[in-house]
Amino acid sequence: MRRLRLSPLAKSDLADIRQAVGNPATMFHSAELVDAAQNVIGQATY
Amino acid sequence: VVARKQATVLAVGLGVTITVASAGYSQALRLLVQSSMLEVPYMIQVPSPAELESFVQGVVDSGSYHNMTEVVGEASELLARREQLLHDVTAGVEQLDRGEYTEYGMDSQQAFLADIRTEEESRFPSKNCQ
Repeated sequence: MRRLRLSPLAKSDLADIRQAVGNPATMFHSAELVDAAQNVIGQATY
Repeated sequence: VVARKQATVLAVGLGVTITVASAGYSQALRLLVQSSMLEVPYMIQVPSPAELESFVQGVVDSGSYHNMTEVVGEASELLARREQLLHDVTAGVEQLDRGEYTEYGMDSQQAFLADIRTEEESRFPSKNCQ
């Protein structure tokens, strides 16, 4: 069975993404979200 | 002298393009830098193959940018972002290598969601995290 290992940094990135999605008033810049997603994907595909 | 020539050498200081000179004047520009007549923290020489110059000029001609300097500036920003991404991903992978991770499986999806929510609440204490 596949397992997910989540680093603290990746967890922070996911929290940022969740915050941005769940809160329309977030001050996140779209580029920052892309960076956060890429960080997570980058670690997952390392 | 520099301004009259085509772009083949870029002098870059503090991430900002200072000037553009022809290959023939790169040595003169380097001497200016070395003699402190022109204060540039460091200098990068960029070979300018015809296809690269043609590409940059094509981007300018498309109307999205005013000149080649703007195109090179945008390219530099994109490269900086990519380098930052590589740095951030490496930092995360190093955490994984040190065993600093939380492991989840199909049987712990709720724990995963709860942990992300907790992380969100700690990062955004004033926001309403649902």
